[in-house]
Amino acid sequence: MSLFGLALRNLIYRPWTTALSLILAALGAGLISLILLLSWQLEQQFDRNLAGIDLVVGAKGSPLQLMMSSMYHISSPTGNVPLAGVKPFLNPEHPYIELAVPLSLGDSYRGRRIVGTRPQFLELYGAGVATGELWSAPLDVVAGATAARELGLRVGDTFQSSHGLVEDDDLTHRDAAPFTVTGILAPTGTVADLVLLTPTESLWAVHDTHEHAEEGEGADHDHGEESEYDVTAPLTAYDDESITSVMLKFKGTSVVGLNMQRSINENTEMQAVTPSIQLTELYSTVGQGEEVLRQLGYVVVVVSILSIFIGLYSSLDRRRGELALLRTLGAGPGKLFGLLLLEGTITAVVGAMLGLLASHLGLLLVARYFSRAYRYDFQSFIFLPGEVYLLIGAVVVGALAATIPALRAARTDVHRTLSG
Amino acid sequence: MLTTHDLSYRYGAGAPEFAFPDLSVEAGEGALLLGPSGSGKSTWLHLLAGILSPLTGRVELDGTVYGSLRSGDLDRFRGRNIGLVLQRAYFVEALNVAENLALARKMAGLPPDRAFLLSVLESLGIGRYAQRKPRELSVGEQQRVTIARALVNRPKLILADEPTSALDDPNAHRVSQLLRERAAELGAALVVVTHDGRLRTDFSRIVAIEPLTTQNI
Repeated sequence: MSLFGLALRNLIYRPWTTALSLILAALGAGLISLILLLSWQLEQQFDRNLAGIDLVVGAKGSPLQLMMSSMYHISSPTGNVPLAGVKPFLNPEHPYIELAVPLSLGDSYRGRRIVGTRPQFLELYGAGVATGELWSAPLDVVAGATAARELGLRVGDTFQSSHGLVEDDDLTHRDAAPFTVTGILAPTGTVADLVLLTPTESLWAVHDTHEHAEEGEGADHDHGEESEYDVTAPLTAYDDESITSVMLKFKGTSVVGLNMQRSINENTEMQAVTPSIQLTELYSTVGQGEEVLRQLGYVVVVVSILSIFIGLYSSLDRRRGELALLRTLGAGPGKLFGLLLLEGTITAVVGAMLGLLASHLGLLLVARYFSRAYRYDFQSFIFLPGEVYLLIGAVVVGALAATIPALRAARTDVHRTLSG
Repeated sequence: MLTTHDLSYRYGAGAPEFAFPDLSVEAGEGALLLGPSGSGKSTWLHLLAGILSPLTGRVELDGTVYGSLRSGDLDRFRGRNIGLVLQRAYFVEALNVAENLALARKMAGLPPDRAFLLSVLESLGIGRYAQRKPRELSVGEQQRVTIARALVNRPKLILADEPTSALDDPNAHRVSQLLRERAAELGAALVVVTHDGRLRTDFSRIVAIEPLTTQNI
């Protein structure tokens, strides 16, 4: 039996002490790894979907809410703005704007958000149509890869949207014309995967029909309605309609952007938000909670060091004869030191591994919640370099906790122990 | 096989000094070191085992002088060549009887020899306890396990410290007999240290130790 095997058997022989140390080590490592994983996942999601957007322009309200609803399709939009107000930004000839993506939000189909926009949306997220083709008329839909897979949508399918962003049968636009899926996007790893895209005009069409039907003006003119709009024309062609927001990407420096943001916020009924600044603020808010949890993790780690230390140290008195015996059998002081060191290290590392396992299982639950509540995909079984450091840390912690007991074991006075 | 010369020991400067008579035990031979408590019996045994280093003199086993070995080498030498039967029965409690014996070979750096291990247990009448934890055995059975462990490395010297003090007459003689038989079988020198006068009749060579010889005071 190797020294490692002997250490293992000794640990199993004291199951309760070992279990307590394992649980504490697992708690500490699990907590720290869960924080690592969650913050990594969040930043991944947010950063990947930043997509180089410099400014979001929309209705006044919470800046965070405007950004979240426009860029991440989380939380509700702040309201609508008249098209006339944002028209200048949508002008392709604008000297400072490289890309402008109009968004019309507020409707959904079975929990997936319907986004009224222009083909610039695909350009922004680098999305391409995988099957079928891009829309050519109002009420044509191109579905994101994940949305299509989860809703089971294929090219040619039709569905009726519902008002609002939650799944609610009562809010379905029953009397409105159905949407038709004309294409499915290739996966991009961005929010483009998660939504249903349609020309901006579709949302006007649905609500026009809807209102007309409610007013009892006859239900049989939805075909005529579609022909009112030309989805290939620039949105600047319309006057009295409204949209939710515009996402802007600038040419060149950010000075222009800051000036434009200030002038919008001061001179119009709209607000402009810089996503990178909002994200930094968001991270620092989330970061405080993260910090508290991290500190808590460290405290648990310290307690687990103590538990390993006390477990080993208190076992020494009972094992004195056993250790002296090992010396008489030919084990030098170094071997006794190694034995105790191994016992501490094994406990810490196995505990840390249990903790990592628990945190990934926990993340799986969180991921399930997130994908149900926000339609976001989390990867639960990605292992971060930080977790490798956590395991290396566990080796150090275990060795540290075991050093003093191991030194005492190595110094066992064989003669005195055996004659006493 | 085992020879000592001019052996003495002192527990710290100024403490009374123990001086031990010279001893020479051949392979297959047995010697009984008899003396009352406090006469330095255990000290002598630990000197013979290389657990303590003498103040003066030397111990030589099969041509190796203990004093010439460094401490780690002496530990290994002891593991390989000396079988110790201790006053109290110590075990690695997490391991069963067979594993405790296997550990003795492992610690001495010897290859496993399961067949010999089991035959030793069998010859001591405790073969059926191979898979039991030492804690579950009676004191007498535990004693036999420690004897088995002392034999399992085929040592050149077997040292027994009060092996019979806890046993009744019949058992004391059986243990003494077992030790002498097995030692003779293995061709090992046997040294038994005890205050137990009952063993007198079992050994032809008896060395009596005076209570605390104080030469230098």
